[in-house]
Amino acid sequence: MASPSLVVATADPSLLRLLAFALDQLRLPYRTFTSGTAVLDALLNEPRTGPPTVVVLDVDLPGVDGHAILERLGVERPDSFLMVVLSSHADESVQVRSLLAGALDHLAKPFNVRVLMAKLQRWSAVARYGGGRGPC
Amino acid sequence: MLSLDVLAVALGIEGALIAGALGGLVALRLWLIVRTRQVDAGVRALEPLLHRWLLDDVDATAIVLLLRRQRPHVAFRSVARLATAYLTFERQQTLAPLLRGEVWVQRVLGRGRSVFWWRRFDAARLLSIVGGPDDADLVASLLFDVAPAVRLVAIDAAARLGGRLVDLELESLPARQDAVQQYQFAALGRHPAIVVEALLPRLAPSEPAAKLNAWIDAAGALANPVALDRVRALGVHADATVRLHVARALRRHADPETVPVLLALLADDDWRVRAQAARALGALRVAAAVEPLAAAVHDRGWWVRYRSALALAQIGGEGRTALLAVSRGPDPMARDMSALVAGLSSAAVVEMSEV
Repeated sequence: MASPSLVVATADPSLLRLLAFALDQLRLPYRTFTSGTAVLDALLNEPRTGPPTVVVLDVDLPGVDGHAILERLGVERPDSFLMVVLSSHADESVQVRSLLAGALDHLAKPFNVRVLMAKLQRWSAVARYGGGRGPC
Repeated sequence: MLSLDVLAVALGIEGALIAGALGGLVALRLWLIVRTRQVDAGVRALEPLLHRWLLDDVDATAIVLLLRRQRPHVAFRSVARLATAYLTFERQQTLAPLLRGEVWVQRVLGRGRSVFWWRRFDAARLLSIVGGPDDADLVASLLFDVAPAVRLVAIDAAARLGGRLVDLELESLPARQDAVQQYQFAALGRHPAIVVEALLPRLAPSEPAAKLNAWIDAAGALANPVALDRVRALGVHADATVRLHVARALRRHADPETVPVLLALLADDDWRVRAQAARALGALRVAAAVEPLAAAVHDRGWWVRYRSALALAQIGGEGRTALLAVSRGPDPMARDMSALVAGLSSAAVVEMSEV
């Protein structure tokens, strides 16, 4: 079974370094993006076969924001990604919007990085053995 | 000749003053650049260590030792910048007692009673990260500071320390501007157990309406079931503004006993109450409310029609069917409203329902 790929998209350089450090510790391979346009293009061009890609998506991205990316992928590539949304906003409406658009989880900053890593490990395992079915 | 001399002296003085002012501005700018670079370097030094601590790779004392070696303003600003953005409350609680006795912390907190507001601001900001029970008096004074920026930051410190500071904060709620109240709710929401305990006795019908409304809003923002049970009992309050706040807060109380209260508020004499009741029934996705909501799309108040149509769209299924039926009915105003809302995407419905 092929390993699922992991994508991290955030424009916050400090957060990106934190997540990169944590993923390196876990020896989870990943790709990083700092703009909404770049990550959307990359995800739309992902191969349609194999396990779903696990995506850590910051809402506050330049170019195309995280919500718009979620909605676009939900329409164009349903079942291809397991998305976790990061946001500075903990408001009920923002969380509901993320989850209704197909996100697996919504984490408000500051979040517990060890908890996120545990979730990513679990979802990577689900993606590997789950037969390529995701909510988005 | 004399007048030329006077003119020359005046020009000389004026020139010197202008040159001095320009020199001062340049020096200030350079000073700010140097300080910013120092802080950036401090953040860069602290960040990798903080990352390792967040993954339990190093002990928190390593962070304390690193900060001890830095200049006080660099240590303070590095902690303020990184702690608020990346540390959860539990992590801040671990770090706080270790930092509290540090010399640089004492120095920044010592400015809490300075005549300059920006120094009091720094102290309040640091208290929101490292404050302990011994700082309660200082936090209480900063909570009622003359500078709004200081008051805002002190709210976080007060909520963190709890006890009488939470009482003070709850008492100050009704006098605050709406935007400040929202900030207060967010700060209070980080410590729900302490806040709910202080809030419950205040949710009584005998309290003045203005105060009661602010506390009902706080209960709604906390979305605490026990506090919202008390709020629900206020749905029959004689003051319409209280019923309005009750209807708004109950949208976060997903409990079967909430439904009859909201249905009664949907038939209230005051259109503002009816509109908020419709909004709450939509937010709670109450399928049993489809019929009264469909009837409310014919209400004489525009807001009631709007909120009721949005609520039907939020409920989905039967709600959408009822909305389409109204859009084909004989009432032109109900028809327009239902056609408008029926055309919205689900994301737009969620977004507009929250506004």
